[in-house]
Amino acid sequence: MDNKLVHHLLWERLRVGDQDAFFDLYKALYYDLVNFGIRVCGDAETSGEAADQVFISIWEKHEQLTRVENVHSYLRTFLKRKVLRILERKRKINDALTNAGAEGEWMEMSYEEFIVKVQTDELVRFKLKAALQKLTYRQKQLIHLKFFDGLSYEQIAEQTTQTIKTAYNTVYDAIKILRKELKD
Amino acid sequence: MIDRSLFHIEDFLVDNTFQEYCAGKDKLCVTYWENYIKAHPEQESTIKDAKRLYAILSGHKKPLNSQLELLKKELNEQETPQIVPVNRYYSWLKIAAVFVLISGAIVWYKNSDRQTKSIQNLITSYKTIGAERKKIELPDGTIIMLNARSSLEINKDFNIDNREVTLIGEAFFDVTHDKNKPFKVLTTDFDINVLGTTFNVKAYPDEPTSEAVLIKGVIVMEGNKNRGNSITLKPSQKVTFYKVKETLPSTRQQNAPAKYPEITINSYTKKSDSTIVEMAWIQNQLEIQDQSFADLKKTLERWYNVEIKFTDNEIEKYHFTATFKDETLSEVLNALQSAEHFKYEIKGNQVIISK
Repeated sequence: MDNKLVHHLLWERLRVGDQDAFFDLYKALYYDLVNFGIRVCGDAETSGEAADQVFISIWEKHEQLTRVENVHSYLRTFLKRKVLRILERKRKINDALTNAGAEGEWMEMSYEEFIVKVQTDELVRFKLKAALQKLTYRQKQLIHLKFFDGLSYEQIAEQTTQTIKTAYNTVYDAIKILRKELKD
Repeated sequence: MIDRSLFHIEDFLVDNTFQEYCAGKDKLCVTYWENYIKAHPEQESTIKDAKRLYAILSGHKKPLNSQLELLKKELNEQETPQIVPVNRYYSWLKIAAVFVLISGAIVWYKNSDRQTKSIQNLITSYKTIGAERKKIELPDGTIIMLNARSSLEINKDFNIDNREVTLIGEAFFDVTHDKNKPFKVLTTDFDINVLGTTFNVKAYPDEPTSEAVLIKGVIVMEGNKNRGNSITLKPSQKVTFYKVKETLPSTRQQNAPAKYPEITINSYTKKSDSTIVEMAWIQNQLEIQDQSFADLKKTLERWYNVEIKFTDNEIEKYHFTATFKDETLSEVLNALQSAEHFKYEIKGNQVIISK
């Protein structure tokens, strides 16, 4: 994958203390890490905090960083540890263990599951759950890719083997349904 | 220009540039939509609803640009040296403090008893001078590495009905398992009871803190004096005891937060190459992790068998992070000079550090 090489090069520059490379890496992978965190712990606050900590630590320890084959998965592993530590601190260790499984096997939730869980407003949570059930499988999938993963219509079309136009229309229809259901 | 006067939420939200604006990913999109909102106050509420729906569907992530700004700000602040208390104080220790009051009297009694006994029974003692290290193997197979300027005393009846050693300074213990004879390390601040484990103890009389780090197994620590206390340590945990204020060097007192907790428990410091900072000395590695020059002074004095004097209080506040192995004192000081500005002079075993 092209991105992998880009991350790798940024990583190597980061190791020698290039701050611009660090910020570029942040821009490239911050959301990915936060998203991953949300998928495993269902909490946007914790996930964001953990991602911040990951980036702050890699900057602080950039001199001690070793060469990494896959920056992306390295940071994800790092994030898992941070998430676990934060949850521990928040005395939510039980939640963490439920998600972590017995031997640190982390279960990732489906979009429908974690996106509801992540809402802090009880009413929104309730409405969103009902609203998502009104969507077709395809609509849910595209809402996930579009708004959570932040993909472009081009990327979505490629990934789901349909035309950009179809992808766009599907997202449009889905938002219309969600908008009506989620009205406050 | 597109006419957006009849736009619904979905019409805004389906737009790529609007999504970029909500995510705060693209500067151009952000500026465009901010200006648009200013120019179209009548659509403000629709746009607000669209942004709300975006936040819900994206999982309430914070905008990337503002997060990045925060991070940049934080990094800039960190560049100015400051003393940050790193230790986290667990609230259960407060509960333990109640226990202290109850057990205090008992521990105190045991203490006075022990001191008279240990003086009579001492037969073997090991001492290291500055820059020296000793590896000691005890009759039960336990291996001890004694760090510089430390002493270890072995009781006469060691390995007969108990295993007791007294430590002043720093040592690494790899204790042979024997469930019938618990191994006990006595220091001025705390005692450590173990069956068979690997751990490091640092208890120099001239340092403001004493600490114990556990690598493997379980140890039970008992505090001495009337602030005595019992703590069970799990692997990778580190206990730090803060001694009474009077023993703190004056510079530390000025900078220190109003009150130090008496005891903290946190994890040991592990670097990315899996070096454990607290254990590095065993591999002859000098690990400096965000230490002030004042703190570092004692370590360097022991490591190189020298006496260090600062001519200026300011220098003592410099903070360093570094790793050294086999370097001479002047090599170390030269390296530290590249981080902070200071001058030094080595005369025999006297080192004078000035601005």
